[in-house]
Amino acid sequence: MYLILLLLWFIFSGKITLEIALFGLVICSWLYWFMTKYMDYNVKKDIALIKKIPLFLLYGVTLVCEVIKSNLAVIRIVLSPGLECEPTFTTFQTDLKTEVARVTLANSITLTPGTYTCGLEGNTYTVHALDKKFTEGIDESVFVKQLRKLEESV
Amino acid sequence: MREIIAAVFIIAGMLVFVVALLGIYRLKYVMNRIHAAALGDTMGLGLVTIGLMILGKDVFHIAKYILIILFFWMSSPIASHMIGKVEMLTNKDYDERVHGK
Repeated sequence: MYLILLLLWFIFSGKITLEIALFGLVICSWLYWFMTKYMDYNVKKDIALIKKIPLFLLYGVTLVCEVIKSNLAVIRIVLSPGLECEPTFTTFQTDLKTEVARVTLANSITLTPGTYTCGLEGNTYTVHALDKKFTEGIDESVFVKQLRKLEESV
Repeated sequence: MREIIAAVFIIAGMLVFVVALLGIYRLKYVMNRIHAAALGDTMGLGLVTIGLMILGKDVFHIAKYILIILFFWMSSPIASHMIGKVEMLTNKDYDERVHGK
């Protein structure tokens, strides 16, 4: 997490000089101390996170692929002359355990056009879909599989 | 050559925005319109940013564009989620509004 903070500092600065580097080191150290003291971060968790980086990257790639696929599907619906679509609501349950994974799943569903989450209570999602075909297999999508892998690899 | 590739990406992104705008007008009812608006948020923004990344001068520019996409993709679903939730909670006669038109 310290490295992420430092990286963000350098990206926002736009160049690397001694002055910027020293300021960045001091400010990031203070911020990291604050986070470990008050915000439930610690070094152990960070090391566990580093081990998961490949899985996060894989998740990102999957997300981009799904977004492109569903974008093309929605563009086809919008440009079709009769707007052949059948908006539906569906509810489904998930077996993901942590809150972070659940929220990530809801966010991913919303990010792919054609489906978005309008309710998330406990482990029940309410999803609105532009067409019925978007809801096929939504409770066992690629996101769920990858998030489950992320959870198991702790 | 680099400019041409970048221009192709930016123009493609703009076209996606046009389709999104068209979709907002063509679809009826707020919940369907959100889907059309999500087009611009995801693919439109992504393509325009990739085009600008190709034009970027150094690694910091590119990193900043990646951050734009990252933060936007984290925050924009929350906005559409809130709109959807409010609509779902306040509008009880969903079927009537969708199929009555």
